[in-house]
Amino acid sequence: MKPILKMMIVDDSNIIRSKIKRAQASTRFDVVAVAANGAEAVNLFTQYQPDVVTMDLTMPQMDGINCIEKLVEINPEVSILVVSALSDEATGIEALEKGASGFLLKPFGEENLREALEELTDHLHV
Amino acid sequence: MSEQNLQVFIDAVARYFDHTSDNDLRVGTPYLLPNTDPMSMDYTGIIGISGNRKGCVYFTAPQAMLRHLILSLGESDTSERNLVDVVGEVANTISGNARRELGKEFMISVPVVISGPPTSIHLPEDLRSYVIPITWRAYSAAIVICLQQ
Amino acid sequence: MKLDYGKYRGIIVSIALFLLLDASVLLMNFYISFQIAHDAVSINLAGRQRMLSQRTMKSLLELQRSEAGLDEQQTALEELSASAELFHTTLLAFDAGGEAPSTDGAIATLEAVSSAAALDAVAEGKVLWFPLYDKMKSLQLESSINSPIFQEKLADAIQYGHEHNLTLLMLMNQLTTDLEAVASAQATRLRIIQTVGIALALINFFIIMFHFLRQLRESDEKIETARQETQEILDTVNEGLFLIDTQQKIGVQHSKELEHILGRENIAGKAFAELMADLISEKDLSTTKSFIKLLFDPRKKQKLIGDLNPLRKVELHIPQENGGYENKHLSFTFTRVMKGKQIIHILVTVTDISEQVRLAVELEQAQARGQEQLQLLSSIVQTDPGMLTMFLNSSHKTFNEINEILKVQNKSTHQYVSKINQIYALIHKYKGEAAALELEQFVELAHEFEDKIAELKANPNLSGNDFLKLTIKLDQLMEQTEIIQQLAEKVSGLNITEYSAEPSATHSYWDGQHFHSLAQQVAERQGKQVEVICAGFNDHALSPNLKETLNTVAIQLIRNAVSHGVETPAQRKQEMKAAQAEIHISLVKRANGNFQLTIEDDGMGINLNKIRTTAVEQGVINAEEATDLNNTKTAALIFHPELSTKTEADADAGRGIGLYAIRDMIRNMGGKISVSSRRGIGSIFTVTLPEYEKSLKASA
Repeated sequence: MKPILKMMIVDDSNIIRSKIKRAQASTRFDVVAVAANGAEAVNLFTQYQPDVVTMDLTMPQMDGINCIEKLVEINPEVSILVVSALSDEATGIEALEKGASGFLLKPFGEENLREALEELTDHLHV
Repeated sequence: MSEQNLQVFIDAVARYFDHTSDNDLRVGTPYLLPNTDPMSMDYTGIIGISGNRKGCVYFTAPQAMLRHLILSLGESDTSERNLVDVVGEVANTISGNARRELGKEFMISVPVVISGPPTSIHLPEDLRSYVIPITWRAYSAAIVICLQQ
Repeated sequence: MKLDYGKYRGIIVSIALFLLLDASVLLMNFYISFQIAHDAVSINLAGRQRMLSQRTMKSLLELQRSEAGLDEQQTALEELSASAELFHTTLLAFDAGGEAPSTDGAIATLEAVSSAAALDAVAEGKVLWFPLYDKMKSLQLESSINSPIFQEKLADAIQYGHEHNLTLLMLMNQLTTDLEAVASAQATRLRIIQTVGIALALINFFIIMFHFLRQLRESDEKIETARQETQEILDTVNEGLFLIDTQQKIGVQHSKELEHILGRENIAGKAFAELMADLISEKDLSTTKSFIKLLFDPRKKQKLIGDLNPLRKVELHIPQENGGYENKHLSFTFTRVMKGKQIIHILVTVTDISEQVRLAVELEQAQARGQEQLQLLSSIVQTDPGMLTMFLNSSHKTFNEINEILKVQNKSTHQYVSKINQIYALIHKYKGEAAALELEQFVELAHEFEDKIAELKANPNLSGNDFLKLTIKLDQLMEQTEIIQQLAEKVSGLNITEYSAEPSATHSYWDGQHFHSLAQQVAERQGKQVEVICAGFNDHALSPNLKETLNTVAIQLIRNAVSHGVETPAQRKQEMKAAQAEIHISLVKRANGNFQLTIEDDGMGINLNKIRTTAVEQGVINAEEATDLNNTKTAALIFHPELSTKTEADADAGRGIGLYAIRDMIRNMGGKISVSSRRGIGSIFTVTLPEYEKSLKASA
């Protein structure tokens, strides 16, 4: 039995946020927090302690990479999926070096996202 | 092929001849030449080009001119080896300049020198080359540029 | 590491068996040695029996000797007693098993004899011995040696002894011999057992050797086969395959194709970065190194980082031996190689996708070209195919002429100026033809060409290098023309480049309609109305060359007439003329075989004063020359290369070079052109061309 996981969405785009949220309706991922920028994400992370985070990279007030660094500092076990449209691989790689575990290229379909999240958390249901 | 790009090759050759004792290089009126009948003189230095555009640029000159050129550079040995050497030098200058100016757009190879009728100049036959005639003293040589679209 | 016993069970069992055999032989050895030692005691004692039987007899005899003293007799009696007891005990021990004093004074345990001969000897010995023993016992019971009873008993014992002594000795001897034979048989058995045991151990050893050597060889063969198969795969596979370790070093094996794809050799064991150096940018290389590092991190999800692979699709410039570069589009994929839960290597697959990329690019280009061609197509389908053929042929000719002019090398600025004028004339003529066929694209290109020429003209210090601009424009024009040509060939199915040198019998298409439409176009742009009336074009068999020249000349002169001769409807109204002007073109064959083309308009005629003023303004002539110039010579100035009476250049005319080019062309064909004009009434251009082109190559 796979556990219900708490999830947080971090993205400055309202559309992307609701898209991710919609894709997660009726899955085992329970969206507990939604943040529009890095600073907000750090606050909500401490408050809700999600297991999974989807993270945009280009955001106002603390970008994704810094945010990942902070979140991993708080909880090294958190699973972070970078969701970004970056064409530059180096930035994506940097995000993973800071502690994210996967990368999903925008634009993505709902199915892509669900699969990516399952893949991201497959080590959590033993 | 933009004018600036072609000019880079011409300028490179001009720059090389700047170093001769009497800077007497004149550029003639460029014209087009079908590749079915490529032009070549006694010695030819070829530079391969790839990247956005593919093709080659070569400098071809008669033996007499190269002899004279060697002498004017203060060298007395005009053996075959030095003739090849001097053509290679011109081609090197072209290659180096082009690399600096056009390195972002093109990959420019190190030159290859061939003497005699250049059987190994393979130009796409359905294309044309630009021939830029140059004269130095009484001699005529040419820069030939062939680039695919 | 856990030992896999299964694999080694055979050898373990075999070795255990070997040891067991050895141990058995050893045990047997022990047992039989013990037995032999035991036998030796028996033999020893049996031998003693022989001796005792004799000593007993001797003691008996000594007792009888009369001269012996009493002490001696006493001693002999004791000795007899000891010998008899010893013999007796030993015999009983041989008979039923039991203890007997051994030779060294200790007690030896004897087993009852078991062989037939020994049994006989013991049994018979007992029969003979017991009476003697009893007799000796009774001797000892006597208190005095010298008593007659004693003597009587002694004599009886000696007599019995004499009778059986030899037999007893023989029996004891038989016992000894038999015991010796048994012992010897025992020793023989021991040797046999040892031999058999060692033989078995040897056989076992050879079985082990044979069996396990075979197994070893088999497994070696299997390994070799596997290795060979791997090699075959690596030699044959179309992709570049290799492994990278955590230090980002390449493994010892890689597919053969890898060397070919990357144009590198001695790849094994190199650092990945070294392999890729110079093939990809520094930035890509460092990004790739980071990416590989991520792959070795088990926390990163392999499936979720594929998009970050910087070499997913990469263009490489691979240096060739001839100094050139070969461009390749490659795709690198990186896959983890797991051992249990550990990532031990990254498998790199390199695929050459140049062909796919090329096809994709071609497709894209084809689509773009398709769009472009569609636009061109609309202009082509509206154009009369014959006219288009003529135009294209004429274009190629013009371009070649321009190229030939460029090819001639000269030194002075003056010569450069003349060159420019010649080119100008040709391109202007070309522009007129393109405009006549409404091929706007070419009109535009020709116009740009003219702009470049204008730039050169403005340059007082012309050099050959400055002509590069023109050469480039020429190249573009040729390219575009080739495209149109290919397109036209596709559209009409006609091979446009080839045409018969013989006069064509069918030329019904040459009805002058295009002259009219050209005039209409030009007039429309200038707000004028005009009608072209043609005559005589279909009356003669003309060589294509002549036809082309006539066509070009007519077009240029019509454009000239509309631009310079025909007035606007308003002006014409003032002049009491019809709003729509008329241009009459006729082609006749003269008696001398020459063709005469006449173009007559009812416009304003040539304004000689304006020509004079303009010529002075543009520096063609000076003021004094102007006043001296008669009307005919003034009119002739319209053929001067550097004169234009229109102030702005446009597609219709204006650069004045048109008439110059026409005259040039006509002269080249061995013909001539003249003009007559009357102010307010109109102008007549008369062109005369010989039927067969004279071999003049003035401009080439």
